[in-house]
Amino acid sequence: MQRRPSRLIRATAGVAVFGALATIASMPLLRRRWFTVEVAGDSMQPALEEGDWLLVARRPPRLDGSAFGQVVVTRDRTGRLLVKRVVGLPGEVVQIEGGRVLADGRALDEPYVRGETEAAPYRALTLLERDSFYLLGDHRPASTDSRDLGGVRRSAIEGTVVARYWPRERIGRFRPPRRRFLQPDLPASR
Amino acid sequence: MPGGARPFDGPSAAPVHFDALQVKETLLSLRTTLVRALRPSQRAYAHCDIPCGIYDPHAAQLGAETVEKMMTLIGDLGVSGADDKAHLASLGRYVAVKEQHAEIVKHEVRIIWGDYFKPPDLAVWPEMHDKVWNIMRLASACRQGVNVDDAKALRAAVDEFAEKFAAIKAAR
Repeated sequence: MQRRPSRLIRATAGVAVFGALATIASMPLLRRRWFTVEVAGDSMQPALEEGDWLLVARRPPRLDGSAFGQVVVTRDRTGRLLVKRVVGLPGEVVQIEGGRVLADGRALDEPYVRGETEAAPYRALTLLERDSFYLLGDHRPASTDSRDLGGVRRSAIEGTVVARYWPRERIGRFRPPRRRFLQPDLPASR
Repeated sequence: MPGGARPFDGPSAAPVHFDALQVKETLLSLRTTLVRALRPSQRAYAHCDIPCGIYDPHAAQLGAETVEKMMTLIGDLGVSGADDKAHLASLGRYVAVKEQHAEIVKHEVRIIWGDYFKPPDLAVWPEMHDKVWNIMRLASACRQGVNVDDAKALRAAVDEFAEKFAAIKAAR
């Protein structure tokens, strides 16, 4: 039987880890490049849960394809911070059709999504400007996002989520999923 | 003093009492302070305004009712000559609406079943999966045929679904 370290030692280790993080978090130099947010709401399930603590880098995603799948923080018109995932890339035509997202006519394969993607028919097609992204919540039936708000300009994006540092069981870096299409052999129709 | 037991040797010889509880308390309060320091000061909303998060079986009930109405209209239409265009047009419309609304029933029920109901809800409605499956089959039968009994059964099944939806919502 493996012996667990005593409660005292565990408590001390926990405090040490927190101390280190707190020191880092409070350094003003780092504050300029990073900030933290607490997740509210469930529109990013299953990736993010209500109450998760996130470390966010103060940089918007790049305009090239590398932005896909990144979780970003922006603000709505009331000044409230939002956290959503980049699904459509600059210059693309994004459509919602048959419960799926189409980028330039090709249906995305989105394993991170919960529920079906629905959109009001008259809002189901968005042409993204060359500096705009299409942001969606992963929990599609429970999310207000680019389906209602339209494309989001790069300059309006305040940061990119880098890691979750609480709760302890789900500490980890965020790696954007690779972009996949349902029928990879079909050429993109433009 | 040479060896031997020294039962009462004064306070200086008493073992140093390391108060583990006190240390733990100090560490815990330190921890609380640190948690406060680390806790993000702002909240980012993974939010939803309208219409998301609103689940309502009413659309399914309306769909089932429409299907039954169309079945009745088709039944009342009677027989007419093959070249009676007005008759054919009416029949065509009734069939189209019936198809469409049976599909709406399936869609609406599927959304609630898949997105709103969660595994714990089976405690409230243990036959949920069988019942939903039955609705799918009945709705398909209504699309295929013109049997009013199918439509009546569909309506009853969807009404039961709506009832259970309310019960599950209340139980949460």
